[in-house]
This record gives sequence, structure tokens and C-alpha cells, in this order.
Amino acid sequence: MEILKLNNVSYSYNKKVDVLTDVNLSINAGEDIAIIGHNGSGKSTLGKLLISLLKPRSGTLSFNGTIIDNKNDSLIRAKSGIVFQNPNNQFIGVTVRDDIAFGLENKCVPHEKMDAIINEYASKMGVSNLLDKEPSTLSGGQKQRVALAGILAMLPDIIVFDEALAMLDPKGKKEISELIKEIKKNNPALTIIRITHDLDEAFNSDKVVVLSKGKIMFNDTPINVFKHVNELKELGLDIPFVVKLNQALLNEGLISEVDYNLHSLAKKICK
Amino acid sequence: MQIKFNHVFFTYNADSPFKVEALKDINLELSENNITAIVGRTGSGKSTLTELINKLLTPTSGEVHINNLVNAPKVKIKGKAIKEFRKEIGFLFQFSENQLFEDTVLKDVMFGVQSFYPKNKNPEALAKQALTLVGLDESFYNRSPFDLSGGEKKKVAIAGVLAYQPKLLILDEPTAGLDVKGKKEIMDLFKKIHESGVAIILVTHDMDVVLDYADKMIIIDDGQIQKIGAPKDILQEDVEKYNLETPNIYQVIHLLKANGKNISSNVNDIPSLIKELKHHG
Ligand SMILES: Nc1ncnc2c1ncn2[C@@H]1O[C@H](COP(=O)(O)OP(=O)(O)OP(=O)(O)O)[C@@H](O)[C@H]1O
Ligand SMILES: Nc1ncnc2c1ncn2[C@@H]1O[C@H](COP(=O)(O)OP(=O)(O)OP(=O)(O)O)[C@@H](O)[C@H]1O
Ligand SMILES: [Mg+2]
Ligand SMILES: [Mg+2]
Repeated sequence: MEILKLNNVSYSYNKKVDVLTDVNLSINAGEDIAIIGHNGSGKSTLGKLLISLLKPRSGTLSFNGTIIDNKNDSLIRAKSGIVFQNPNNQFIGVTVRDDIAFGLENKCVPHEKMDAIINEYASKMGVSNLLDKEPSTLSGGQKQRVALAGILAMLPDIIVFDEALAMLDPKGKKEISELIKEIKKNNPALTIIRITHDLDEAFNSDKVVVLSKGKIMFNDTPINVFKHVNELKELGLDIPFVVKLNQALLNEGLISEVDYNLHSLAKKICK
Repeated sequence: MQIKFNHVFFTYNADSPFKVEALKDINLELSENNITAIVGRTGSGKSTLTELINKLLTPTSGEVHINNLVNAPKVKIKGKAIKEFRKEIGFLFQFSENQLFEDTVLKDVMFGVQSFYPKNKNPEALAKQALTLVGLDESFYNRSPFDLSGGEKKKVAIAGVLAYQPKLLILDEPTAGLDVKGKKEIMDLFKKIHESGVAIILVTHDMDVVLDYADKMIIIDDGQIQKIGAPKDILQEDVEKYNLETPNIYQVIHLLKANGKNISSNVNDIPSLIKELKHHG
């Protein structure tokens, strides 16, 4: 079922130059899509438009079939959350605990239930020991984990992760990705939009949207998108390591079919 | 630039119940001959370590020597001396967009030159040169640095530290938020600057950047140095216990070896791997 739809959307910050032009995008409930593209291509702008934090200059956003305008945008705001590119722009509370609680209050979660929820998500994100700290005194990765805990605790139907894992250590990145998958398993309708420069993260999504200069260039499964090696290079992008390796092996006849799992791929090469 | 850490401890909020022992007994020497990568898990103390070099923080005990300056408790340094010393250092914060503050990009990038070298007659030329180096053209000059995309802000911040041509660059996650092409261009740029005699210390979670650009790496964990050495050696070992990741190419090589293939030690990217497989397949 289609949950979000952008119909011919253009956007401009200064009324002079459009930073997004004629964007058409349909997202189904439960989809996990990645948005990739060069710096300044319009990813963050698109992410904010999708949850109505910004309004189209022209064109429309529909949420569950209803066209969103200034009067009814609370419909989508109440069901969505965003983890901003810079977590410093995220924090409101004096302590990490207050900060997560603040989001829950906005969602009208009863006070007696809050502690349990805060503890659950703090523990999931590995920040239980930071609950009494001021967000500004945390390390970069700790800030990102707290920002993630705060949004996930609110149980939104739609989450935009704007480079939300960029400052995590490599293992932390994997762990959190797994956790998000886990949360999604328990809640299959959760729609995820991940803006990322991490091609491996994009490769693990259901769909990849490629933006360039405010236009959608590709919108397809990761495997289909990352077939376009030369086009992506021209757009300042690249393809994930495992895809690159498979292509090189295939070109030289060192394997007969692609395999995106490194373990079984290694076995195939050695045969 | 010679940098030496001598039994350095650093504790945040030392006298409060919230104290955090961020660094414990750090001993370290760094020279201009290296691009040094500092890596380690979230909260391990990397940013704290870099801030001690720039004297944004003072050790709780121990000493950091930076050329002739000593950063240690009870050692008083005059404001003027600190300024003289800081102009030799370009410091890029982890959330570098927070270091932008002027109302136009050009003014922001000029700021360092003007404040460190007030007699310089043409700070604008230096700023424009730096902006060109990071790939921002003149259409950015008069824009507000706050109205830019994340990656564009990062590039402005980088231009701001390059413009006054420091002798040491301390870069906390310089490539986070940059696109693939931008990442390569910026790292190539840093490498070129390094080759002209500038020392570089970079903090990163990207082990491919470490492998491709650094010639020395330091793993810190829980505020302590765990390993110092050449990336191509250390990254072949088990680094996952420090929450790091073996670079992709080494993962493949390990798996191939585990399946009985002989791979010579100079294979370090896909083309060299393919060549090896074809010749010894
Ligand atoms: N507040 C703003 N005012 C004016 N222009 C803006 C503003 N924010 C972004 N822009 C411009 O809009 C374009 C798209 O920006 P956006 O932040 O959506 O890019 P992005 O794809 O998220 O880039 P990045 O990967 O660097 O974060 C860029 O050219 C940028 O300079
Ligand atoms: N201003 C501060 N006040 C109190 N504690 C702090 C402060 N800054 C950092 N810390 C704590 O010191 C420890 C080391 O933090 P640091 O920022 O050096 O980590 P890091 O290695 O840079 O991590 P990351 O990769 O997440 O950026 C962390 O536990 C952090 O919470
Ligand atoms: Mg962005
Ligand atoms: Mg840090």
C-alpha cells in the first residue's frame, strides 16, 4: 500500500533556483529505501519534504492518499520522525533522559509508561549509562546513538535517517543496522528512508533512489541500480565493493555467476 | 612539528560525580613525516586526544609537547603565545559545521587568515584559493554558510583551515558526510598538502581511508593506546575487537586463504587481486 507519494514536486529555498525539480516518488508502507546522491543533490531536502517539514513550491505530497497542506500536516508529523544529519540539531533536553522523554511527551505517552520505554530504547542503542548526561558532553558517536534512541522510542510509522550512522564506529554501524532490521521485523509496516553516502548501507535496502542535481536519476532495486557503473561514476558516485568485485571476477571468467555473499563467493573462486 | 605525549591523563569533570576518565597514560610521538590515523570505537577518546594537541584542553596530569610549547597542568601560557601556536594548526572539528559563523562563505574562509595574519594584504585571495581546492566555485562566495547542504558546509570548514596554510592539520572525521568523489578529492588534496611538508593527524572510522592514505595508525580503546603501527600490517590483524572493520579487500583475501588459495602479500585492491588470481589460478 502506498503511504507516501510526491507528485511533480519542485522545491526552492530562495525562490530563485530549484533544488528539486519535478520529483515523482511513490513509497509503499514497510519499504526500506535508500536515497543516495552527490553533496548538494537534494537528499536532505527530499527527506524533509517527504515528512512535510518542508512544503513543495509546486506539486503535492500525499500521505495514505490524502494530499497534505498547511492545515492537515499534523497527520504526517504525528506519524513520522527524522534523525538529522547533525545530531546537535536534535537535542532539546538537559539530560539524555529528558531528551528522550520530551519526544514521548509530544506523543502523549502516559508518564507511568515513559521510564520503561526510555530504558528499553536506551539499552537497545547502548546508551543506558549515558541517560543522566548532558547531550552536549557526549562523543560524536554517542550523540548519534542517543538521537536514534529518541526517535525509535516514539515508534513512528515513517523514519527518515539523514546520515544517522555516519559517525558510528564500523561495528556499531553494523549493530545498529541489524537492530533497525529487527525493529522492522516486529513492525513490518515501518517505513524507512535512509539518506546515506554508505554504498553498503544502500545495497542492503529494498530500493535505491539516486538523486543528481535535484532530479531522480534511478529508482529501482539495489542490484538494478548498481548495474549502471558508468552512469553512477559520472554522477560522482560509485558501486559497492562486493558488486565491483563480482563484476571484475565475472569479466575475467573467474566465476560463472554473481554472489554477493563474500563467504560463498570465496568458495566459488577457489573451486 | 614535533608532538610528544608524556604520561598524559585526561578526565572530564574531575571533581564531580560525573567524572569521565577519557584518556589514561597516553605516551606518543608524532612527526611531520606521517599521515597518522587515530581510530577506535565510539567514545574511546579520539576527539579528546586531538583537542589536547591544540590546547583546547589541558591534561589532568602529564604533558603534551608541541614544538616548544608545553601543554600541562599549572603551565601558564600567554594568550599571545597560544595564538602564535594555533596559527600553525588547522583544526577541523568532528561536527565542523559548528565552526562556521560568518554571514558569507567567503568571509568565513577569510576569517582565519585575518585573525592570525592581520598584516596579510590579500586574505580574500587565500580564501578563494582554498575554496577552489575543496571544489567550491564562486557561486558559493556570497552564500550564507548556514544555508548549505551538510557536505558543502564541511567543505567550507575545510577551506577555512586550509586558507591560513597551517603546518599541522588535525582533522576529526574529515570525510564523514562527503560523497564518494568528494571524499577521494579531499583525501588526495590532504595527501598533496602533506607532501609539501604539513603533518596530518586524522580521526576516522573509515578503514579504507586509513589503508589508502595513512602511513601510521593508532588504535585507542577505553582511553588507552592499544596499537601503533603501519595500517597495512595492523589492518590484517583482528581489529574487530576494537569495534573496527577489516578493509573489504583483506576480508576477501582472508577468505580466499581460508579456502586454500595462495595470495601474495602485495595484493591490496581489486585489480591486483584479479591479476593474482589469473596468474596463479
Ligand atoms: N537552508 C537552505 N537555504 C538555501 N539553500 C539551501 C539550504 N539548504 C540546502 N540548500 C541548497 O539546496 C541544495 C540541496 O541541499 P541538500 O541539503 O538537500 O543536499 P544533500 O543532498 O542533502 O547534500 P549533502 O550530501 O551535502 O548533505 C544544495 O545546493 C544546497 O546548497
Ligand atoms: N565535554 C565533555 N564532558 C564530559 N564528558 C565528555 C565530554 N566530551 C567527551 N566526553 C566523554 O569522554 C569520552 C571520550 O570522548 P571522545 O569525544 O574523546 O570520544 P571519541 O573517541 O571521539 O568518540 P566518537 O568516535 O564517538 O566521536 C566519552 O565517554 C565521552 O562521553
Ligand atoms: Mg544532506
Ligand atoms: Mg569524536
